[in-house]
Amino acid sequence: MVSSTDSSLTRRRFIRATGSIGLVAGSGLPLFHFRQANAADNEGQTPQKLGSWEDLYRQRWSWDYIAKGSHGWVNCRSACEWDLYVKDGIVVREEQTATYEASEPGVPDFNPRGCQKGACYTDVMYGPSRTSVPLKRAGERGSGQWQRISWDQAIDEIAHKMIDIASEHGADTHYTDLGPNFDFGATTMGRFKFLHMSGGTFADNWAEIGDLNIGATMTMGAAHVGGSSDEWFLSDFIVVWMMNPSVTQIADAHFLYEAKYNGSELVVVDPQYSATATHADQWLPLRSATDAALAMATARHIWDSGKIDMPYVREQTDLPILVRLDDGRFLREADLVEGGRRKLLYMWDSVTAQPVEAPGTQESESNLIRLPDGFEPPIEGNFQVTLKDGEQILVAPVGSLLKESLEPWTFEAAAEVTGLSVEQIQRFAEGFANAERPMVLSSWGANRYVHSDLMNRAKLLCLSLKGAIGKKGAGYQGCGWVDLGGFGTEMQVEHEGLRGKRGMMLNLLSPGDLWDMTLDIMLKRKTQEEVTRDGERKYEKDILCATNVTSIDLHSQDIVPDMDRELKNDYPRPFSEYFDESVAKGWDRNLPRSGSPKIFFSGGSNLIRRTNNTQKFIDNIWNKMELIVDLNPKFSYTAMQSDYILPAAGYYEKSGIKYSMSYIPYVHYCDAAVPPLGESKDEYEFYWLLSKRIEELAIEQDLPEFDGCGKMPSDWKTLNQRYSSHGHFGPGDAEKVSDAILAGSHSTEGVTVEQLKKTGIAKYTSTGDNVGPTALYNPDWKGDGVLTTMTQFTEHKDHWPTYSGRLTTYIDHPWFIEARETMPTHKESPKAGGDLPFQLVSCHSRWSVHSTWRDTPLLLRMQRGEPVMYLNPKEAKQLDIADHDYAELYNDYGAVTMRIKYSTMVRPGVAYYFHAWEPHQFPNHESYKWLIPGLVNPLHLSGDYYQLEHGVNKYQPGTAVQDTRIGIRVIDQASVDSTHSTTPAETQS
Amino acid sequence: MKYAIEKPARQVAMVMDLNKCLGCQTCTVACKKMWNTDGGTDYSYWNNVETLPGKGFPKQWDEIGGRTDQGAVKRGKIPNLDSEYGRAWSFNHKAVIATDAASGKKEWLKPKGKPDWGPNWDEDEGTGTYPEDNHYFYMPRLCNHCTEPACLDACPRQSIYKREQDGIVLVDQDKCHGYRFCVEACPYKKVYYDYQRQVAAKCIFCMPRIEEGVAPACARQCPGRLRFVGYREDQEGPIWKLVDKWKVAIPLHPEYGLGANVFYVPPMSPEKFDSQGNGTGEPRIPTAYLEQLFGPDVHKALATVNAERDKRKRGEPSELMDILVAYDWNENFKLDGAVREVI
Amino acid sequence: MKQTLQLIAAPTVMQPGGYVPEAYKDRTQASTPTVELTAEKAAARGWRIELQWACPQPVSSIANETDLFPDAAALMVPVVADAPWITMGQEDKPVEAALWRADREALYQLQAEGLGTMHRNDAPAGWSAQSQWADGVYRLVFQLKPWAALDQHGLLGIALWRGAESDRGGLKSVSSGWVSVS
Repeated sequence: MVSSTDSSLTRRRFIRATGSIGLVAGSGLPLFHFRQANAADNEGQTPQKLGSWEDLYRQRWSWDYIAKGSHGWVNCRSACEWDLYVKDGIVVREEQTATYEASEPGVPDFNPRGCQKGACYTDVMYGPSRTSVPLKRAGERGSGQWQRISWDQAIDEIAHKMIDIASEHGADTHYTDLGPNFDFGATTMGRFKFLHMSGGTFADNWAEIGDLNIGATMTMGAAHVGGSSDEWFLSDFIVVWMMNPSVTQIADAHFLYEAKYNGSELVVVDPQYSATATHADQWLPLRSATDAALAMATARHIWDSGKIDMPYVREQTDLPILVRLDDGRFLREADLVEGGRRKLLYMWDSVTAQPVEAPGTQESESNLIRLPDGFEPPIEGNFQVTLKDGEQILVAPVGSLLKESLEPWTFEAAAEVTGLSVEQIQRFAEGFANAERPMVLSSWGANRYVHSDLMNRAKLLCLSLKGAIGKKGAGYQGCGWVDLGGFGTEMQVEHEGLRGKRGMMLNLLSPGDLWDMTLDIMLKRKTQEEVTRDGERKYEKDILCATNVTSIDLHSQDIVPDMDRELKNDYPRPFSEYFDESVAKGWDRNLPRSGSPKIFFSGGSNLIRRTNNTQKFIDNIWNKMELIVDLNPKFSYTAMQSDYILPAAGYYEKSGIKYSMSYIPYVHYCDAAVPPLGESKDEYEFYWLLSKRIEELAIEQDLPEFDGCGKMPSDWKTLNQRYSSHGHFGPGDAEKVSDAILAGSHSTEGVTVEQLKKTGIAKYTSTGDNVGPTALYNPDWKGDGVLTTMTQFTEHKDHWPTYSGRLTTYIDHPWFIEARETMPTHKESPKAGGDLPFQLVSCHSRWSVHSTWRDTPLLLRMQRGEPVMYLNPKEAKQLDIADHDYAELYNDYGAVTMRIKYSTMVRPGVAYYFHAWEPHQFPNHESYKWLIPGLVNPLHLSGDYYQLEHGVNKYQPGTAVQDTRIGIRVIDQASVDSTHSTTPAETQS
Repeated sequence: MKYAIEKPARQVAMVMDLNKCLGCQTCTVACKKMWNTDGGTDYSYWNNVETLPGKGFPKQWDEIGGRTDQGAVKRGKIPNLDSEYGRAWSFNHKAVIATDAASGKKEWLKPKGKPDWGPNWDEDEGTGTYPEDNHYFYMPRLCNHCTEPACLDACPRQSIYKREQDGIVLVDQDKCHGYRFCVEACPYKKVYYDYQRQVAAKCIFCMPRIEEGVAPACARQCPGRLRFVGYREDQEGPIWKLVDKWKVAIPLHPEYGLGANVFYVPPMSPEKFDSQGNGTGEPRIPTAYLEQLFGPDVHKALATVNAERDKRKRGEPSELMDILVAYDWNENFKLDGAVREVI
Repeated sequence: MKQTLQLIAAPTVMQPGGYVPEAYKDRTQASTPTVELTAEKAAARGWRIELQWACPQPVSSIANETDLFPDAAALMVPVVADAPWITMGQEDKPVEAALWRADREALYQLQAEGLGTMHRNDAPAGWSAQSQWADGVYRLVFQLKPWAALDQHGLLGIALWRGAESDRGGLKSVSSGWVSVS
């Protein structure tokens, strides 16, 4: 036996030696830099015996030092702080710091947070798919042939290629998506600052991955709405509606079950008997994608039973706004008066029998929606008005039209559509109507149907009628986040010293624009927030090179004909007509200008893994790109198809700030607990070095200025100057960048890296100065108390960021009128992929945050080691498929092989899976994604309608995965192995 | 001949509220990372969470232990590594990432061999007919640190002892010769065999942490906040209140007669539907099944939880609900005063 | 001198603790009924002791499994003449043993003063054993140099464990008493 000291020395030497392993002949792979078991393996084997044998265990609970860490980059919707236990230079384990405090008396605290994935990131960091040396593709893309190269070579080659490609195709063919692996710290700042400063195109993927709550944007003008998770505890009627917190919100779920003990009713609406449903008071097992029908019946009941919060509805919603009954458009001042304003809307004054200006609409004199004292506009009725040309027409308040559209939604009608019983619906609707503080939890997963917008609009309607939105302990919980303004500033501003959102715009907008904005504020024509909001909209439209991934796919991937075919019965016109109109009118961002992207930098996001209709994407986009670089701490499927795999530092090896959803209103810091493994590098440093090399070459070549995406020039001869804020930040200054981000954020007043290295967390001091679609709209919250959102409108009476300035039930955009989607309603889910028996429904995984932990042995052993499709056992047996058999899944798009798992949680007719398996975890490296066309709702290509306008994080076309239908059939088990595998799995212990 | 087991000065104990369990397995991973990362224990999970009704881990453990349902000794079975525990599968990452291009075939990532069981194999499977009465719930398990441990009783070498200061049951790793009578005898199947060191090993209730006033990793790392840790005898602590005062926390399989010191608040569940989809008023988890697990006391425990919950619905105070809410998480753990800061 | 010995099942009722006596009370038949013993003493080379017994299913490796037990054999000798055999000695009347296990090369040396008291250590340098299994028969040859207690009393007890029968600890086949080899 060796002593523990000896063994640790061995281990340390081993790690240090990793940098010098050369190219291995044959397979050519220096991929595996050290033993693949987790770092803690040696622990306990070599105890020093002290007093008694029990010391063997006491020694295992020992460490050299503890650093603070978080999983800042993993794109987990929550945030948790961890203590990282470091022994002999290795992070051996992690345990929650658990020093959060209760927001206010009478509410449980947040401790300890965390989940099983956070508890073993060390297994990812030291795991078998960790990258540690730069690699260059040595064969065809995806051939698995790699050559080890130096960082210098990698950077030099990439710099040369970028200059060549940008010179030929334009700088905007350089494109980056967001994707997992981003934080609010230096690494992500570096990636996007490089993109921004080099004039590349940013493609938002919120909607593409089905996470963007378009229904929320339509209704509230904001997609990311939701307070701190302890607010759940305060509701008396909680509806978990398209969410599964026990699985996807592990750190926060306890508040639901604690609320039950506090006397709340917990309802879960889910076709599956989910892990969350097991704890429900009411489970509503409805047919997939019929949620809007349930909500319509509920809204009807709220109305009919007189449980509408009438003062709230009159003031906060568009129900009193008048609509012309001749054309379905709002009644506008321009209709009544020559030269009148288009965006001035009306209510009815019953006393004077006249339409009166609705305060707080876009072109109204007032920014506030508060109604004059004593003014109670009707929400029902028909009224006659005289237009400017003398024509007399009927108008009606939105409420009147709504009531009519709710009329058919009796409990019986909803039961017919949803498959629920009348009793189930009635119990739910009565509970909702009678609740004082009804709350709906509706996660990112609530946006995966082509008609999810209608479902969410309908759910929001129920809450609007009850006056619940913007009320403490009630309302809509759809994943809000706290703004860290400094992140955006550092990312987009090349000069130090500019702070905050307005500071950022000072740097970016033209002097004329700025003068107008200043005047607006001085003359009180607009509130500061509004000026900022307008500035931001202008900035995004006129300056930022931003589009969305779905738009790129539509332009480049040849999927428009698929959409035409799949949606031919669902909209009045073919999809392609909507698309063409959107492009023609400039609603679609249509970037890059030359067509398809040529340069792709993946920041550890896993683009191919998550792309629907994957083969088409690979053929039409991926393989037509000329330079693909994946800077990644892990070998993902995307990495494996790239030209360069560059090893990024692991999460515990670099300074980082977790992006933070409002669930947990604390900033979370990740310290560099240990140096980067092998040759891996912090992303911030890589982009510093790359921008430097490009700058050197550009000067050498006297490279002409690029025009970016046609909005702003980009001179690569000063690329590193601008990236480094004119030398303010050096390549090793990630921590300094973190500090600058914190200092530049109103939500982290006084918080420093030095402090966070000790505490890991700090309570946010405000929700930030974000005014865009991700704002929380609570100007009063300064770090104390439960965080409620939307009080800016309900308490301060500011107008909502919507066309009518109100919670929106009625959208009078011509496309919506034509498609009969002016108001929420139920529409059937199209059968994408063919009229086949199973609806393919997904949920975020318990076992991974996207693909990051998907291949981690420790966790795979606690699953079944391979991807599984959950089926109801009865149905699986009818198909002759035994538990854990491979089966073939097929539809119009192809066929893939996957194992079946029996689960009684699954609704018959549903094939249910937990997402983010890597393609290389499937036979032939083809996942269910190969079968998903990803329907695009054509109405989401609309624009020129305030909240319905392309915006990052806000409104954009996306893809709906859950409308997909598949067939499932039994296959010969032996054939799976013989067809797809050549060598037996090797032993790796 | 049976050993005389001296009553320890104090007994450390745990309560788990199944109404808060998420099935997330953070406890399992926390425990695993701390104590069972070595080769011979790679398959073993001192703490596991199983989906019930189900076969559990090791498979059908409740049928192969060393006690009858009358508490009498019967010969138990040592679980097989492949078929009952599930071997810690190894994977083929390298071969997958470095596809052999020449072969033209792609190997995919999967476990070596053809595993058909593991520590969480029947996760989320459950039982019953959708939507009338399908049901499942999550059940975390660890060593019960019994008052009359079956493992201790089974060791001819007296390698197993119950600590005087806290009642934690330990296997002396020096003294054990790996006979595995303890593995056989424990009706909860919570003693494992380290097949490399060839000794038995089991949950130590995070003894080094307890000694410093820190709750076990499974409890302190539980994001569902469902675990309470303290001393049985401490009338100010959560254990006594939940077990002895309110009687809502009861041991698993009390019929084994071992005096388990880990207790459960039994699970409530949404109501069943009849064939018309109307509620029947009965919980989806049959109470007869819960009685099989927790004995007849389960009825009263559930009734008490429901009654106290009704009080809160009416706006009345309830000490029991306040404890189960766990307003101040630190109060879930009441150990010795000198709590070690883990910062 | 070759002798055939009848073996008995070690009485489980005497085993310490409550479980083994009860759970294995049906273990009344020896899993190995007979063994052939050849014991020779050569002054220079110490003791050469050969055991031969029938074993249809040998278990020579228990690596990487939880439920396997190795075949094993022990030669036990009293340190004092009246040390009781069946209880592995008693307090102040110790016994010693050489233990061979089919899954390891080196022998163990055992010392005990009654059931449950056994200590196991690496055997002295001069102790070795060679085993061979063929056609359902184990042939095991111990070379033991020196062994003072055996020299002194010339008494030997034999215990055999059959892995396939889950023999271990007190579950074993033993000679019915000390056997004289002098």
